[in-house]
Amino acid sequence: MTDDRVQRLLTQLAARTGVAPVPLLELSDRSGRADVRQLGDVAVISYPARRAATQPDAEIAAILAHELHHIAAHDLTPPAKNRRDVIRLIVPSQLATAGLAVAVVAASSVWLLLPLLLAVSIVLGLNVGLALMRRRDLREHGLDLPRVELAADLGAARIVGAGVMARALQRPIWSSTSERLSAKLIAAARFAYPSHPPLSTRVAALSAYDGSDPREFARTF
Amino acid sequence: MRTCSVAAESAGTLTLNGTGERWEGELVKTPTDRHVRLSLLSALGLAVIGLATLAAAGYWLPALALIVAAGSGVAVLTWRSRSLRRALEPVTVDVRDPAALTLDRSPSP
Repeated sequence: MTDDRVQRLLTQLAARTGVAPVPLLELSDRSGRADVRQLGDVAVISYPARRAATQPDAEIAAILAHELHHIAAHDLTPPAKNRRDVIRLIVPSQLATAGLAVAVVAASSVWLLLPLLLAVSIVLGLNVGLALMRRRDLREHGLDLPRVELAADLGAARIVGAGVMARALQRPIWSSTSERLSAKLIAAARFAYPSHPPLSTRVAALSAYDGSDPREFARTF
Repeated sequence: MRTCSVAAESAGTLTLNGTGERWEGELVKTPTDRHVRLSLLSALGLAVIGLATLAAAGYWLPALALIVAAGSGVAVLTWRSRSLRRALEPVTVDVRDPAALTLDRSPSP
């Protein structure tokens, strides 16, 4: 599926933001949300075709500018580093909480509750690991993931305007029921370190944005 | 116009069709995202087993209600994963701007 408008806007915005080479554009409806991924040295921006069909150019540009900001700011974590985080931080935390659950059950001899406590310990351990990741991210980069997203919103707002960026974020997006439910479950499960800030926070940050350095503003907002 | 395909979600390969050029790499975020999804599925699966155990032990009414809730979660996540896998068949990407393919690296063999 192709949309000349999206490709044209992406090429223009990449030139304006100095992102080279122009990222590859993938138009598909596997998700209702746009995202950017790194494939080797190639950045690939995925844009939902169905969403593009109903959006004005300015709002498409806003979302593309957000993704381009991620590329320009080197926000894309190498997969190997992500995998190391999982192996070094999350899995050990989950093993520790699972061990604690087994110890509690063994001490109380209520073995009937073991599967339930293990289920709780997996989610708790996940969040302990994510909290460690968040602390590490703040220490090493000064920004956690939600603030990285805020900074990308603000960086895009510098190009397209804060009002347009806010409208683009607030426009209802198409997504399947399973995608919405799955996203809600996953967001609830990783409560210690969400990947995105709430929409209300993003809009509030855009309203308050004074045009200063996006990372600095996001850090202090 | 040259066309390329994004072939997979995790260990992805980018192939420029008809040119023989190929870039291999992995897509970002997937290890953590995948682990979060897997953890949630495991937790929900264990919850279902635990609640079934409770039901078998006689606490059947609250267990049944919770089994339905946890089972729905498992079903949604599994269904979503399957639909994602189906959607991750090679996707054609049209690249209108040849400059987009001027990449500052040598192609992988």
